[in-house]
Amino acid sequence: MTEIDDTTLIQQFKRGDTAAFNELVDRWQVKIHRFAYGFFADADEANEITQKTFIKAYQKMDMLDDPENFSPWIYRVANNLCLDELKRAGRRKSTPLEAWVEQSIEGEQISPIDELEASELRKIIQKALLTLPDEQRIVVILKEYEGLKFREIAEILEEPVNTVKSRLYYGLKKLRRVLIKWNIPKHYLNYD
Amino acid sequence: MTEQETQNQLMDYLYNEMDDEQKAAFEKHLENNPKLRKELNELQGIRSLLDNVPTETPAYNMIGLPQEPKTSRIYSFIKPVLTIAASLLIGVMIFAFADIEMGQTENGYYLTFGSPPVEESVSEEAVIDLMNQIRNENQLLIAAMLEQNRELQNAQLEQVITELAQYYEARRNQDLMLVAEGFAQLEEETTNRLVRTNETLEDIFFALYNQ
Repeated sequence: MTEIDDTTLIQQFKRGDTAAFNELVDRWQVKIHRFAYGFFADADEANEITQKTFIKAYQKMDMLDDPENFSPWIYRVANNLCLDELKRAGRRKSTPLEAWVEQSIEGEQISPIDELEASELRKIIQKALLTLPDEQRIVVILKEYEGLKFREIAEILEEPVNTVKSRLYYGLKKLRRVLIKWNIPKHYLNYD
Repeated sequence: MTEQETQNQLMDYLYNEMDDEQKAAFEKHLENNPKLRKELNELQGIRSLLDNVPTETPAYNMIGLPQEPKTSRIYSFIKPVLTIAASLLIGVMIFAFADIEMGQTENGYYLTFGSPPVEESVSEEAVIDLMNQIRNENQLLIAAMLEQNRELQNAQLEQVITELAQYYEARRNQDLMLVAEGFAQLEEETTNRLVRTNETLEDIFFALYNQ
């Protein structure tokens, strides 16, 4: 059976078909959850942002003039909710890199061992992501986890494409510097 | 090429967003630039590390709207037929229970509701008896009404007379009080006048006696 595309589902939902909206949620909740998790590194926060995103999508779908633009639109909704949550919680934005020079993760000194457990490495990378400024972290998440094109990210963030590329460049460079400071073995950080 | 342009091209190359011509030109540029190659290697290393970041996925539907029960295609097809059949059945039932009749005469069509009244023959004596009975009942009813009316009028008249008597009694008492008050005032004035007359006479006698 041919799968109905998102555009058709949105049109059906606008005509009152709630099942079409449920199908949209089913398709997009993993992506939105992954995006929010990358932002907060917290499953509960990611759940909350995901739910809020779809509630907002349900309420504001009429304002989406072109259903073809659903993808950037839903990411934009999620991104705004993430930023709102940061403001609401009054959180400290990402820590300046200099502040992490002498810091280790949760007070534990990571010794330069040859092999790290995969789960441990994942935790370290997730925490390193949190050290990035919000605008760089968003671009890294959208590019690396969601696999979006620069043009699509620019559309979501409503920024020039070159700005997106620049943020990603500096975000990746900063991640590398943080991981080196945390004694991550060099062979993890070199491609060759 | 500026540093900013180089960074942008590095990103395009890293994420494979260059066409073949751009890619070939950039790779040529890389061959002549070991510093840029090193930077590319470092960025690719970070990319491969990021692949290890956990991707949390919700284990259940985050949002769910109640759905209307789906109807089968067969039901969708026969639904209008069933609706028409049910309407016809209701119409027939109404015609049957309301004794509705439709027909045609020489003058046109007619539509009647209910059954015509049953005609029964009644004798003249029975009619006269019925009329007499009704007349007697009417007379009794009128007499009772007249009696009741008369009693009501008597009661009203009695009440009016009583109220009038009470009024005159009160008026008489008030007049008597006024008359008594008038006599008392007259008596007082007369007494005062006598006292003054006596005093005047005493003055006259005293004057005459002294002369």
